[in-house]
Amino acid sequence: MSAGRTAAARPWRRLLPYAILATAAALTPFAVTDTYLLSLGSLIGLFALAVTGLNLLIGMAGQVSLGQAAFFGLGAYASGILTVHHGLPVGLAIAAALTLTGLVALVLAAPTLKLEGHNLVMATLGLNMIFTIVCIQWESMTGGSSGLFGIPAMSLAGVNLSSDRNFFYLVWGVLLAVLWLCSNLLRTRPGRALRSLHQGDLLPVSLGIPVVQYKIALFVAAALLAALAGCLYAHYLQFISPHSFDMFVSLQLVTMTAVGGLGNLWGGVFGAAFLLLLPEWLHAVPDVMPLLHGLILMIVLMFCPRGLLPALKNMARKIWRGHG
Amino acid sequence: MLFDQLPQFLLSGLTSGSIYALVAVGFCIIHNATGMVNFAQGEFVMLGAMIMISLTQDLGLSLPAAFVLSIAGAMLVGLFLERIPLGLARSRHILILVLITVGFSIAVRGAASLFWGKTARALTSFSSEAPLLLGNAVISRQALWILFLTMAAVTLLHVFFHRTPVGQAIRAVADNRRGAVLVGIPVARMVMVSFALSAALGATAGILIAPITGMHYSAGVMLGLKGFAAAILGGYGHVWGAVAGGLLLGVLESLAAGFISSAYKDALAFLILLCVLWVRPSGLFGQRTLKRV
Amino acid sequence: MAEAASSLLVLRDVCLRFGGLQALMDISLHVPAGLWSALIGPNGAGKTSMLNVICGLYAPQAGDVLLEGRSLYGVPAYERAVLGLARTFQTVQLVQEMNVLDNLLLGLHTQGRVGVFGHLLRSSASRREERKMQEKGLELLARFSLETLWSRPVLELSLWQRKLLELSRAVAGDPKLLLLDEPMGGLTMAERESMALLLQDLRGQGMSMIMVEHDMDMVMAHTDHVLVLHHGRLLAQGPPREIQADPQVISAYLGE
Ligand SMILES: Nc1ncnc2c1ncn2[C@@H]1O[C@H](COP(=O)(O)OP(=O)(O)OP(=O)(O)O)[C@@H](O)[C@H]1O
Ligand SMILES: [Mg+2]
Repeated sequence: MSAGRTAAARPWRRLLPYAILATAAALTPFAVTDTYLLSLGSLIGLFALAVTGLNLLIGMAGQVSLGQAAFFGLGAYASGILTVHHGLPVGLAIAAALTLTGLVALVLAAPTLKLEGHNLVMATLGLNMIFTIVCIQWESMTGGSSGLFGIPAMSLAGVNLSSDRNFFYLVWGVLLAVLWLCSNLLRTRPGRALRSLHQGDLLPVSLGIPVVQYKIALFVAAALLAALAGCLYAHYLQFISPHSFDMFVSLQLVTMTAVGGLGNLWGGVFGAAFLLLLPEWLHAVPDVMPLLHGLILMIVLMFCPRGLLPALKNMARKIWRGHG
Repeated sequence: MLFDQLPQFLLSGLTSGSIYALVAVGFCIIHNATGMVNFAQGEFVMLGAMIMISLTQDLGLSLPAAFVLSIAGAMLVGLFLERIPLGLARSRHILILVLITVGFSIAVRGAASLFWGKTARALTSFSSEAPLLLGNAVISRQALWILFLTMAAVTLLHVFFHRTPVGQAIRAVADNRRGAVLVGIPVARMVMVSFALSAALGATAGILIAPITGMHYSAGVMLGLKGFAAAILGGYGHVWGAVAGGLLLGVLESLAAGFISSAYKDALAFLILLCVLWVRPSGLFGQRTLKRV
Repeated sequence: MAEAASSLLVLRDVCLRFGGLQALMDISLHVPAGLWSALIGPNGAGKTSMLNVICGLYAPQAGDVLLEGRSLYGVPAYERAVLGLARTFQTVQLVQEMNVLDNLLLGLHTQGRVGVFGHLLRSSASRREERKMQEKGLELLARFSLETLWSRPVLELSLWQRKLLELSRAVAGDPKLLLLDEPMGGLTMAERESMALLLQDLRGQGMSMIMVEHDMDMVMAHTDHVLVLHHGRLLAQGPPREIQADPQVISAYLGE
C-alpha cells in the first residue's frame, strides 16, 4: 500500500534543512570576519527564536499578538536587572527571568485570549505600550530611556559565551534545537490539535481538544521563547534600552512571521533574516531607506501572501522543471 | 486644591478626546466596510496637517482653501491605499491586509520625512483672539474650534449615514456584505468611499490638533494608536461608541495626568483600556456575539 | 428512574434561550442504547441546538443532560468527547490546511497517552504511538473507501468525500453515542443510499446514533426511534410507525 510511506516519510528529507542550516551556521564565522556582520547574524538568530514562538501562536491558533516584544524585553530587563542590581550569577538570573516571564504570560493569557481579532491586537499592543512606558519611567531600576548598562557577559566553564563567534554558535544552536522540538510537536498528536485551533473553537472542542488550555500553553510558550531571546540579547550586548522592545519591534516580529509564511517554521527564520538584512542592503541610500523599506514590505505581502520562502521554493521548482 | 483644576482637566481631556474620536470613527468606518484595522490611519492625520502647513505657510493659501485642499489630498491617499496596495493584493487574509497597511504607513512616513524633513512644524491657530475664561478654567480658541468642528463632523456623518442613499448603502454593506451584493449595492465603490471618508476624518483631526501640538512626519503614529484604542474602547465598529470612547479616553488620560502622574498617563490610559477589555471583551458599547455551528 | 438507568442518554427539562428566542422548551427524553434515532422537525425547530446542548457547545439555562446515568452538568464539551460523545456538523467541518489522514487522526485525539514533552523530544513512545495511530487511521480510511486519498488536501475532496471523512473522524474514537447533523444533506440520491447503508452497518456493530434528517422516507425506512421537535418543543417520540400515525405530528409537520 502506498500509504505505508506516511509513517516513514523519508527521514533524511526532514533532516536536510537542519543539516544545511547547521553547516551554514558552523561555517559562517569563518567566512564572515567582519564582527558587525557576525553580530547581525546572531541578531537574526535571536529574532528568529522570538518569531518561532509567534509563528506558533499566529499560524496555529490564529491569535495575533502585538505584544511579543514586551516579553522579549521582559526577559532582557529581568535578567539584566537581577545581575546588575542584585548581583545574581548570569545562569540563575536567566532562569529567574524565564520563570518570571512564564508566570506573567500565564496570568495575562487567560483574560487576554478571551479576546478575539482586533481586540486581542489592541490588548497586546496596550501591554507592549505599558511595558515600554514603565521601562522608560522606572529609572532607578531600568536606567530609564538611556538604558541599562553593565550587564555581565555569559560564560560557561571559563569560555566566554558572549564573544562574537561563541555567541553566534550559541544562538544558532539554540535556534536549531528549538526548531527541531517544534517540528516534532507539529508532526504529532498535540501538533494536529494545535493546527485545528484556528478553525474556531467549536470543532476542536467537540473532538476533545481543550482549546483554552492549548491556547494558554501556546501563549506562554511564545512568551518564553521571546524571553529566552531577550535574556541572550541582554548578556550579549551587555546594554539594553526600552526602544529595543517597543511596539514597533512587535510589529516587526509579526511582519517577519508573515513575510516568512504564517505557520511555516523555516519561513520564520527566513523572514527574520530578510527584514534584518533589508536595512543593510538599503544602507547605501540612508534617506530613502524607510520609504523603500515600507514599499518592499508592502510589495512582498501583496504578491507573496503565503510567504517569501514558499514563493521562492515554488520559483526554484519551476526553474528546475523548466530546465530539467 | 487639585480639585479646583478638575474643570480644566475635563476641558483639555475633551479637547484631545475629540481628536481621538475623529480618528476612532475613521477606524470604525473602514472596519465596517472591510473588517480590517487600518494601521495607516495615523498617517492620514499627519498628512492632513502637513499638507495644510505647506499650503498655508509655503504657498500662502487662505485657511479655508487650504483646509479643503488638504482634506482632498488625504482622501486621494486613502483611495490610493484602497485601490493599489490593498486592491491588488493577492490575498484576502485579514492579517496580510492589515500588515500591508503597516507597510504602507512606514512608506508614507518615509516619504513624508523626505519631503518635509524631520523637524516639527507648527500651524497657526484658526483664530488669534485671547483664550476664554470659563470659571477658573482657561480654554483656548483652538480648543473651541476643535470641540465645535468635531461635533459638526460627527453630526454631518450621522446625517450622511442615515439620510443619504450612499450612507445608507455603506451601512447596508457593514451590516451584511453578502446581502448588500445581492440587492445590487456596488460594494467595491462603497469600500472606496469608506476609505476616502476615513482619510478625510483623520486629516481633519490632524489639521485641528496641529496648531496646539505642532506636527512632524511621525506624529501620526501615536494619534493613530490612541484612535484605535478609543475605537476598541467603544466597541469596535460602532460610530457613536467610537465617539464616546474617544472622549472617554481623552478625559481619563487628562485626569490620570493631572491627579496621578503625567509620566505614566499613556500607560494608565492603556491599562484602563485593558481592564475594560478583560471585563467586557467586546468593549463598552459592543454586543457580545454567539458563535453558531 | 429505572428507565433512566437503562437509557444511554437522558434529557431532563432542558430549556435553551438565545436572548428572547426560546430555542428549546422543557425537553425531556430518553434515548435507549444501541438504537438509531432520528431527530426531525422543520427548519429552525431547534434540532442543531439540541445536539449542541448534548455535546456541550451550548449551555442550557435549565435542565440537565445525563449520559449513562451520569449528569453532564458543568462538564465542558471537550471532556464530553472523552466520555464518549462524537458528532458531525450540518456544514462539514474539516481543517482546510491539513490532509485527509491528519484530519481523520484528529478524531483519535482523545486516545493518545503520550504527553506533550514526549512528543517534543520525539521519544520512542511518541514514535510508537504515532505509528499506531497512523495505521489505525489508514484502516479507518479504508473502511470508508478513502484510503487512496489519504495524502490529499481536504480542499480537493467532493462533498460526498468530505461527509465520509467527517463521519469516519467521528467514529474513529469508538464513541458511545454518535450525533449526526444532517449527514445526508446536499447529497445525491445514490449517495444518500450509500450513506444509509454505512450508518446501518454502524448500527449493526452496536453504535448508538442520533441523526438529524429532513428526508422522511429515509427516516421511516431505516431508523428505530424518532424524536419530533417543533418550535423548540418535543412533540412526540416513539417508533417510526407510531410517529407516522400520530395525528399531532401529521398536522404539525408531516401534513404541511
Ligand atoms: N448561536 C445562536 N444564536 C442565536 N440564535 C440561535 C443560535 N443558534 C440557533 N439559534 C436559533 O435557534 C433556533 C433553532 O435553531 P437550530 O439551528 O437549532 O434549528 P434547526 O432545527 O437545526 O434548523 P435547520 O433545519 O435549519 O438546521 C433558530 O431560530 C435559530 O435562529
Ligand atoms: Mg440545524
